[in-house]
Amino acid sequence: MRRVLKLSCLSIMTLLVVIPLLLLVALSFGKGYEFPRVLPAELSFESYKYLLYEHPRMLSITWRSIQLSSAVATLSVLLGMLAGKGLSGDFKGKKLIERLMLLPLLIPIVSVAMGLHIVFIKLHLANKFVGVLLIQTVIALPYAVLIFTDLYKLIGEKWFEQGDLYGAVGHKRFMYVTFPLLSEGIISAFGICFIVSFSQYFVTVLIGGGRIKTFATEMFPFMNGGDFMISSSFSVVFLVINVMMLLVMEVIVRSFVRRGYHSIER
Amino acid sequence: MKKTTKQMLYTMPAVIFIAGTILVGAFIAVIQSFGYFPEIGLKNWTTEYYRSVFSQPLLFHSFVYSFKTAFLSSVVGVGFGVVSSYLLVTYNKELNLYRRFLALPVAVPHIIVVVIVFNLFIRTGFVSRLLVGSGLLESFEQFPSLLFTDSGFGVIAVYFWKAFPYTIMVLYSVLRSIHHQYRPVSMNLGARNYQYFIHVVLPMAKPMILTTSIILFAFSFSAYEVPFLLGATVPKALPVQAYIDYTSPILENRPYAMAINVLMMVVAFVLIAVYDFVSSSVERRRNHA
Amino acid sequence: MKRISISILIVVALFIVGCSPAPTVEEAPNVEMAVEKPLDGTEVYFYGWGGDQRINTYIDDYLAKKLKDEHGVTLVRVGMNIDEILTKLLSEKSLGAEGTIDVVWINGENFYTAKSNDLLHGPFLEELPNAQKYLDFEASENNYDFGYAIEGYEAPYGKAQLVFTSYLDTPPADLDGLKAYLTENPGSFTYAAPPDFEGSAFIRNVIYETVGFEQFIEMDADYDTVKEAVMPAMEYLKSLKPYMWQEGKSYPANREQLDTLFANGEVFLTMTYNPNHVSDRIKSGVFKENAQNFLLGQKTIGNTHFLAIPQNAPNVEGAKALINEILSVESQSYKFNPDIWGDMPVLDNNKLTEEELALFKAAETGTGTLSQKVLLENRYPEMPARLVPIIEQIWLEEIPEH
Repeated sequence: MRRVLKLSCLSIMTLLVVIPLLLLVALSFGKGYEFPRVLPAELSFESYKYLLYEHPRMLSITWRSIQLSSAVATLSVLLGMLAGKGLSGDFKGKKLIERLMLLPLLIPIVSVAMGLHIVFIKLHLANKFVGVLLIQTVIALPYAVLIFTDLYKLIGEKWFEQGDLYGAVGHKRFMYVTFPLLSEGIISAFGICFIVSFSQYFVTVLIGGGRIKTFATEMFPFMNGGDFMISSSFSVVFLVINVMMLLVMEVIVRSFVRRGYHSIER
Repeated sequence: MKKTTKQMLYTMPAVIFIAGTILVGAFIAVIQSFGYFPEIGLKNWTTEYYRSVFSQPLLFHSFVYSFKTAFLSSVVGVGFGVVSSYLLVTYNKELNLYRRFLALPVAVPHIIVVVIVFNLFIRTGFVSRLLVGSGLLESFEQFPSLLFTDSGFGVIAVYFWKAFPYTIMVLYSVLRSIHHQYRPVSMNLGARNYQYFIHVVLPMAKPMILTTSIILFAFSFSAYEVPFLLGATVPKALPVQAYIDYTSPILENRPYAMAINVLMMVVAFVLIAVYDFVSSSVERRRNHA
Repeated sequence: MKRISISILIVVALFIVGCSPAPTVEEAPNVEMAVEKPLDGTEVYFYGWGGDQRINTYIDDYLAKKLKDEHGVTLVRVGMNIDEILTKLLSEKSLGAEGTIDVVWINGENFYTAKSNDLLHGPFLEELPNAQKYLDFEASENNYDFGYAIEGYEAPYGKAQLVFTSYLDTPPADLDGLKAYLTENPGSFTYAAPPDFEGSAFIRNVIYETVGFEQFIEMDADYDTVKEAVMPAMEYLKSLKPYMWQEGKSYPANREQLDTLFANGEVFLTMTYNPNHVSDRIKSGVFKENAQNFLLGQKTIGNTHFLAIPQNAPNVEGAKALINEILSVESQSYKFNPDIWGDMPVLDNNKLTEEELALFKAAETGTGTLSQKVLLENRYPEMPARLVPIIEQIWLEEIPEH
């Protein structure tokens, strides 16, 4: 009985996720979707062709966006790990800092947009790659901080104390204790931060001034709900890139962890 | 150096990043809301924008609309996510691939979800076509109007679809470590499954669940894209009104937008205060127990 | 072991971050621009709405090639909404910062904002050779943009006019006809809610049809004055509500959604500023082949959309070259072809030779469209920009409901 309940819950979840995604894929490959057709009338690769070949420099823009978002995610994870470690302890003003960390998640970006833009112009970061990288990191960082704060709290001191007993200090401690324990968190944090960064349209356009083109800046103008083929094709490619990046990151991190174990065995 | 100082220093880079940008931006937003917008020649400090915003009869309805859509989508989404994560954790097999599949919606930008929901639920949309095609409905006219109504259905659907996968993604590892640490103990002490879930798992996961809910709520409360494209024409969600004022070619309307934005920021702060209150009472209860 | 892992980390980090700072085209340089620069080898950045694939292609392929071939200039198009562009220009101006935009696609209310806040470079229109050659400087649409004096600060790009599309052989001819049709076919009509550009235009069209347009040309931007003037139009729209889609309580958010409702048969008509849009939609199979444009009422609103140069444009000469190119007979007739964009030309027919006129005639090949002649003869001017937000506000108060 309980088994049936579990399975039906899981199936509902699956359907909820699958059906919209399938619809998205179908729309991206299909032409002619008037009522009452359930599926598009004909198969067409037109929008993929436009997206991959005809839109100027799309491939190089895509590659640069992957680089940009990887850098943002890496930076966010590093800073987040540090901050999470700091916040797992207790010190004066900790609460204030915790609240501060949440700010970018709670304040709508449009509110602070103009002010941000002025700050970045003054710092000579406007219209530049570095400027966009920094502002995207600001937005992605809180997710990483949250993940690592919680993770550090859950892990607690005991593993580190144990490690100390065995002489694992400094970078050895990082490699054999911290990193493996945090690896799950690193994977999720990198994943979320990459996605957040890759999806940023408004700040990239604002701070990048239109000069820094990312996958998002090319994709979002088409999202006005008009041509479903082109918007869903962009979306499918967007998803594929994100998923691939997450997989790659997972493989990299896990291989490091495994290597760590192997060297312990030695 | 002292351990605690060291810990504080660890947080500094992140703090500087965030403070240096967001706080400055928020500060400028606040002064603009009081009418100080020298770029277009407005230099008088005034509360007229706030007065005007608050005297709008529709403001209350906009607030309620935003609150309702954000609240329902977050609560139901997180609830669903918690239950799903728990099911995944307690399933006998690992289900890694499946878990990652369920997290896919997190990578789909909101605006794309809007396109999907639009195509699913307009009266001539996918769901309607299935029903008409299978004969359950005679024509699309019998299909209810779900979108663009003040039920907020479309908006809730979009945010819900993003909320529960995000919850699963974030909560799974937490639940799993709780499971490994406390399940054997609970079983030894004779707890039954639902007791274990309610009295052990939930309390331990509460901070994370709360934080996630607040983040989701705050985001859906203050983002304009989704209610702008799928919401009712009246009442407009708060961020939609702010967006319209912000993008108005009459730049003198910007302070109205800023006033509404500041209002939304205040709501966010109130949320944090609520979170504080709830989490400290959880602490208190735990200490008493 | 330690050394290997560290070096791997370093390599990965370098790979991720290191490649980036060497830009291909994009970053804005910090150096001062020389005052006199030869055009060859420079870049021109063209900012404007990027939501239509065909318009993008016209700029990315055709215009870019022309500029490259004839001036050696690289044209880079940037898709950005006008409000984002205005915000950027405003912040830059207040800080005296250098710009990154050479040409802006702009019109109406936004031009008014830009010019009255000193965001634009000019006057420049009369300097352009093609402007002198082909434009009618007497025409009011070339002198006033939404009722505001242009004074040479923007150049016309193309012409648009509000048209309606349906599948009917005899669509309603005017507002009364529309009402009659809806009484027979309730629930089959709606329009996009303001601030959607085209939805807003429909409302203004209804206003013109009910109370005429002359009174608005000099009207004060005063809420009460405007409200009194437009009330009859609001009454009409209110009277339509019970027979409308969702009983007129709620409206789709933009014209693209309206198009989808129309294509699915949920509503019987759609509307747009681009008279050749229908042709494209038929070709791409979104609309059925019998879709036809018509004018609802005596006339419909027409306007011109423009190109302007920001006051901090990095390449003003390049900007002028681009605009001049857009004003050429070739570019205007190519753009007029419905397969490319279908945007109406801005050149004065009286200044064109026989062969040039023939080019335009040949381009006019749309399916389901109305001829340019018909459109231009039945055209209302746009009302002053300042009145538009007031009208949108009044509509919002009077029409939609919970």
